Amino acid sequence: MEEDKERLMSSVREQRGDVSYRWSTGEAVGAFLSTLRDSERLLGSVCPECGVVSCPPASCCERCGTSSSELREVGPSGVVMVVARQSAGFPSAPLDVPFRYVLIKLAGADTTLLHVAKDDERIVPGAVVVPEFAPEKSGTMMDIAYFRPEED
Amino acid sequence: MALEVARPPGGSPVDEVRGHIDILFRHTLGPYYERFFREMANGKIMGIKCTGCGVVLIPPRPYCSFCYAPTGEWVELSDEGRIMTYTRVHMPFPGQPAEPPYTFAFIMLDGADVHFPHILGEVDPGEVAVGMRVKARWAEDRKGTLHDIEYFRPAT
Repeated sequence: MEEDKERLMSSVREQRGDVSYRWSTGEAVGAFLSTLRDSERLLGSVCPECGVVSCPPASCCERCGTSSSELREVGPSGVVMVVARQSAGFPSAPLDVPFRYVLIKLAGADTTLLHVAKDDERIVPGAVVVPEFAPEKSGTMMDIAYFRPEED
Repeated sequence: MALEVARPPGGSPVDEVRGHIDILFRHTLGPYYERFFREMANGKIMGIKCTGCGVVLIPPRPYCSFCYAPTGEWVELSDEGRIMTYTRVHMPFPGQPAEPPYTFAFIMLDGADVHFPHILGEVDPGEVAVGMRVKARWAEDRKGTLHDIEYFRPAT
């Protein structure tokens, strides 16, 4: 039995999954990322039916499903709604661990944006945060490096 | 209606995000695959018999995929069988078993009731047919992986 157990525990296979992908942004998120990259401004989409402002923007209102084509600048400051602390590292982690995942309701928006913040005890629900833009732009959500407390 | 976005002249709009995920993982084989691959290194293909409906399954597993009864007796299968279906692979993709083009086939080994996936060799793609008899070509240096069989070739 002991020998079986040892054999089983040593029957380890190492494998690698190497996944490259290209994700089409669509019009709304494409506009968001273009504007973020080119002018460090954040856009939300405005629902013509219920008036909800979504950020990140969406081509259809997430609340009532109505198509939306109007974009409006939101933020840059926002209020932290939800926080999760990430302590385990993983490949392509957006920040060194530990860091915090945050859902942020940007000023003028009605929905939340998922982003990251440093592991700062002030990053709690209700905290007012502002984006720290990446010096080198890549046309991705990481053109915001992270959000930090507004008072810093 | 197109979205109007202000941006400095010259900057092409973002319409795509490229990503890359590199996943390294380690897993233990468990009691069924551990023995299956150990026997493979000895040049044996092992199946397992269902205690309920009696089918012989490959690869071995704790429960029957047909009737969910526990499996019991391990049985050695022939390294010969017949092609159930096949396809020619021309596209490269990560983790594939050979350089394309190659022929991938489901092979019903003699003594088994479920097919075994592998690749074909030493055969002209135009001559491959459903029902064709094939035999494993074993690797000389076997390490306890599916590559211990290099490919299946027409049985003579």
